[in-house]
Amino acid sequence: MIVRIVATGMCHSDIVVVKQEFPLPLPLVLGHEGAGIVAQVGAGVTHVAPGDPVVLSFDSCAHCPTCADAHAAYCGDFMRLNFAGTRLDGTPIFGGATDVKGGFFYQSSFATFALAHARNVVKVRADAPLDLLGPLGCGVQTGAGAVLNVLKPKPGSSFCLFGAGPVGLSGLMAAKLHGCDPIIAVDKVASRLELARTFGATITIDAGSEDVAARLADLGGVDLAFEASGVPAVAQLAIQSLRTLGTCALVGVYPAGKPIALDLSGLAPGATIRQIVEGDGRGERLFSPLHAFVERSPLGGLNILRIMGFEGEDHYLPRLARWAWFAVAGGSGVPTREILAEMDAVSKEMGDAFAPIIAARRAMPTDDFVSRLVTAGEGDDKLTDDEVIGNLILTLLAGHDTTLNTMVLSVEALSRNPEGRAWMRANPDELVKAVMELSRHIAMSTEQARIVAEDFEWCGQQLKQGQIVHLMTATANRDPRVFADPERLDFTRDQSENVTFGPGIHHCIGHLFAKMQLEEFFTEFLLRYDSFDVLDDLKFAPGLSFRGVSSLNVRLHRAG
Amino acid sequence: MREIQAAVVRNAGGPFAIETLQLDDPRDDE
Repeated sequence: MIVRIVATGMCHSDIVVVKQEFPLPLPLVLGHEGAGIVAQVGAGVTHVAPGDPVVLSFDSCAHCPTCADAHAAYCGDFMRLNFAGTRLDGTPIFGGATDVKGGFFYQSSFATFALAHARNVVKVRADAPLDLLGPLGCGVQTGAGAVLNVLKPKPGSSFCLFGAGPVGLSGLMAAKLHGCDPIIAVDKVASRLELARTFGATITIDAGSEDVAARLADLGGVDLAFEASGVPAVAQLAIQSLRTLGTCALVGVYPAGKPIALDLSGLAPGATIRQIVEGDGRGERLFSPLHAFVERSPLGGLNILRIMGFEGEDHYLPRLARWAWFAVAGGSGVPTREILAEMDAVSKEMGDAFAPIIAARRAMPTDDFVSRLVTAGEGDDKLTDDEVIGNLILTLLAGHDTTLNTMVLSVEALSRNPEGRAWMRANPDELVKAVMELSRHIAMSTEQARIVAEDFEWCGQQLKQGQIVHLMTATANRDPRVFADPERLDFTRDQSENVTFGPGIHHCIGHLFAKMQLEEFFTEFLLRYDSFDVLDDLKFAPGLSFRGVSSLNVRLHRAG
Repeated sequence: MREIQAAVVRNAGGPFAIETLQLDDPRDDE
């Protein structure tokens, strides 16, 4: 078929051809992470039609022994189908008198239109963000697929990524989905290590300044070494990092003529070394869940960023999870020195990120949230920059982390409560009651701090002006004098005394927004899935004020 | 045949150069 290309990724596999480290004949049109709209189909193509949005991947023959065994990435004709520069029968992709070759991964997507085979085109949803999905066809599939299809880690397996580029980080995110712990990332580039932490790395090692082998030896080696750098010496290090029965996955593209030396007597007992192509997957099997994951990742954060009027969502979204995690963890009962140091670091990052926005709004106010803050007050009694930053941090994190945690903990609670799911489906107009009861029951927000305005006595306790008190709202929401049988999830109970969003005049400013998002979320979630099972124990992130989990693996059972 | 614009690599190390090419029509299985 002919696909009008909307967007395409650029991958290391394109670059190695440009450099002729992978010496395919030139001139050639490269590009193999294309996404676009079908413009024309051959007579025998039935699974897509003109106008359909699609993502392009690699081609395979579908009938050789490895294809028949559902391992299309190891197709016996992979090289000829994807790299010959022509069709399999030798006929050219481009007509006329040109000497240019095409058909790179049966697409050559660095063009306005691409010719693809029926087998390497995957239809996606009509509202799919085609400008983002191209890398699903190779880079993301290669990294995430290697973990999801091949390694299939057990929760708690230690995972070490070598090379935190797009392929490696895709593998790292899949490892996080599987509950790997710890998740280690090794790279020389600081920004990549920062990104790895955002995506779930719990330990990062700077290969430019640290002794990687020694650090990994101190950790006792790793169960899973994921080599995505494509550097032979790093692959050697990855293999040597394994512990007993460990597996090293090699997903990089390695240069020819650069062997590594291995002291086999030092290899971990029972070790496996596994080279993996394209995540050992077929596009259509992997794209759907990955696409859903891409869509879910900015949940909540995107909404609050837009409400606040922040520009540059792409800058903030990847940082939100880390900011929220350490900001909350810093308020835990006994935070570690490492957590306190990270909390200081993210506080500075947030301050640095917000300062230019505040300066711009002071110079030229608009009608957005930041402008309202900088212009609030009377005369000279305005908020200082630090006070504005404090309010922005609170609003951004409270508007993101609380809603997200409520969704996650509610899914866990509902997984054990089919009657509750049935009630919510039967009473769509009363979902706000269900949202309030779920919020009370899961107790995501446990307490709120207040400053005593004047001396008074409360239940025999003398409170002094200026003292900080912590109102334990989670405890109040389980008071049996107010909520009969408080441990029970009961969507019909009266919610007028529910203090999840704070009692008194300091009621949460975003409570309507949070309820709206939660209602929308549960409406769609319960429509899509009949039931869902939580696959492992809840692992709570540190923090006293907010309760959130580090990860949650859920098996979803589709409706219908 | 459909006229398209494509980024062509003619020499090792590049560059990518935009050229006008004629893309073949799809066959039955394309």
